[in-house]
Amino acid sequence: MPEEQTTETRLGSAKEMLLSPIRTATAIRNDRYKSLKVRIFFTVGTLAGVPLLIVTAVCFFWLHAVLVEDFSRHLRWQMEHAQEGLEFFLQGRVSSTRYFASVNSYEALSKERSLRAIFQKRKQEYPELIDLEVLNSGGKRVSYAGPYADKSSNYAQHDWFIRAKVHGVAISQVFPGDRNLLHYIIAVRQEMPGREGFWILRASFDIETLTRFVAEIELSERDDAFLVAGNDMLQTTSRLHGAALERISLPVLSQQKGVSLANIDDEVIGKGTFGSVKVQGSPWTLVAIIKPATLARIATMLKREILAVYLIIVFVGIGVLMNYRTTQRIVNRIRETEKAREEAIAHSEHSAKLASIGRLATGVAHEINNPLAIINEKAGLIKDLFEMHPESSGCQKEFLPLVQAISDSVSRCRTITHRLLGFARRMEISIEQINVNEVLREVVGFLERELVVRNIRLELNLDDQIPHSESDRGLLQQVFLNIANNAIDAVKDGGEIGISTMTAAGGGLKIVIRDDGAGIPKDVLKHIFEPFFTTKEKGRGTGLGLSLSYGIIKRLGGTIEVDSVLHRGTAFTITLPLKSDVREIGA
Amino acid sequence: MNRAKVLLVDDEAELAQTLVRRLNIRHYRAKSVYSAPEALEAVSREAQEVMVIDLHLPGMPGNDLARAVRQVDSTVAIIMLSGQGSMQTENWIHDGLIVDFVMKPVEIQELTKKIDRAKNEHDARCVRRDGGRGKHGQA
Repeated sequence: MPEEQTTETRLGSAKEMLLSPIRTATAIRNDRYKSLKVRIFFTVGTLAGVPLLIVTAVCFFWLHAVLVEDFSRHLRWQMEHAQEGLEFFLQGRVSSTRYFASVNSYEALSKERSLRAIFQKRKQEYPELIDLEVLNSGGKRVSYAGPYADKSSNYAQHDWFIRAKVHGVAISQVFPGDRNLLHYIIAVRQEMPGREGFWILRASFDIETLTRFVAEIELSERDDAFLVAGNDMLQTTSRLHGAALERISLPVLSQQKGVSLANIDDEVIGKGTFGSVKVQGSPWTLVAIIKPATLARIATMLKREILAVYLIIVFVGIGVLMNYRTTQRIVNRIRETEKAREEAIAHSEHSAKLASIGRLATGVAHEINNPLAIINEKAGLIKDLFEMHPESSGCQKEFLPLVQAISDSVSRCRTITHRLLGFARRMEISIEQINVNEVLREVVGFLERELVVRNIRLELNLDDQIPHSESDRGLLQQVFLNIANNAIDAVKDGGEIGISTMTAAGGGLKIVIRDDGAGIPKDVLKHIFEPFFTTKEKGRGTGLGLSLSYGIIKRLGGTIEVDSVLHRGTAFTITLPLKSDVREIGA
Repeated sequence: MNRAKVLLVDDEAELAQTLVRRLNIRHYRAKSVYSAPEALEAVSREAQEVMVIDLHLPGMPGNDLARAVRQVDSTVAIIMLSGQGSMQTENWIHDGLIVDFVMKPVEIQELTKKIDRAKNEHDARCVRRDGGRGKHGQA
């Protein structure tokens, strides 16, 4: 039939046209959900995270500034303390030296014996004292008390001698001297009583005491503190820059009074805080170099704060996770709502389509019914007349079968029109107490022959505990037969069909008819409940079976659903209420 | 057996006439009319026992006609004739408006069976209406 072919082709292409925009729309929608997810995630994240970040940053910098300030103040205080201690110490030594020079006459001190006596006395008082020496104005030794009596030199050209000559008192830089012992010298000038000229009392001291003052500054392993003379000569041993008397390159030292602190990034020293203070009355400058690692002391101070930072990170992590999950949940909720809405629309469209097709079918059936009735009655009348007058015609034997054939054809047509009419409205409904299991067994009875012929295994799994229900036996039979027939058509010879009944969750009945046949492709699945939709070969299916079944189950207040996996099989699930609340469909 | 007096109402004259003829062959006293007014006129003119009314009559639906007929003569037993059954027909039977229902195209045996049952119903109604006053005479 060429006409049917064209219709089918047209339907096919129409189907594709309908389906492809749906696919595109799905892809677009998925993209939309993804971007929505990203947007919500970042919006919520920004709203919650940015203020937290700002507060954290502000707190951190504020805390950092406070700690740096505190650290600087502490360092300054320590350095001042060391400087003052050192100055006081030196002053003490200078004063005592001057005192001895003034209370003892030059003559007395010139004698080694009395000088030694003074030396012994002073040595007890100041253990770091190495020796005492009286020099004349030419820088030559007059007398000496100490362990190095045999070594003598002329000091006239020494810096400290010249300074003592000019200023009256001088403290020398640290130097090893002839005796190769690190020491410094305090020299005081004393006028010759009653005549021109002067003499000088020289006292040399061990540098150990100096070192002790420097060590008073609290330092970590990587820091350094030392005395330096001039701009580059170490006077005490530096931890990092060498022993005393070695040369070191330092930033320009402040000549101002008081401690000066600066952050430096020096090639030799590296990064750090550089503090220096001039020790008044001496050639020395106290220097402290605190490496940034010491700034890391801030970090150790921050230990508790680090715990806080750690907690903040954990909280932020949890926040991000919760944000992510909330976003996911919101988007999923939106997606579900939209899906449900679309399904509802699709469902109502489907129902509307079925209803309109039903009305169309009803109209057609009606129009055909009347002429069909006339043909039926005319043929019946012919038969009646022949039967009334058996003798009237010799051709009776020939006519009667023809009339019967007309009646039979009308009968067939009637079946079709009645089925069509029943598609939307059923004809006679008779609700009675039935056992669905029994109805199914009857249906199976109809099919037994075909099952045997095709060697199809039937697995009946009927729950005897299911209650009786009020429904229409004939209609249910029709539905079960339709679906079971489809299952038989779907399976291969030797396949399997399963029919099972159970009590549904809501209290009704559930009937599942499944097969292990070819399965139904997705695009076909959408249309299987539509009237005249069939995939069976021409002449085998009317395309009304499933749509009728759909209508019937709906009228009986139940639902019918289909699940199908391609090449795996199909399952029809019918749920029925225990009491059918019969309703009009498409009216 | 005294076969029923039947009035067939169907706008499809060809169908109505043929059916009447077939019923008459079976010794029913059948007549046909083709519209609701004609039917009402026939009922008021002479008593009917059984009426077969097409549901889809032009101008007046079969059920309205049935109601009008029952107002004129409450004993008439009415059979509805239609292409399809519905909940409404079930309800009408339940309400006593009609006694039965036949689908088109009609099987003559089914129709005669239902007419006979309708006749019995009509007779019973007559007995109820007349009470103990004796059987209503039939021509």
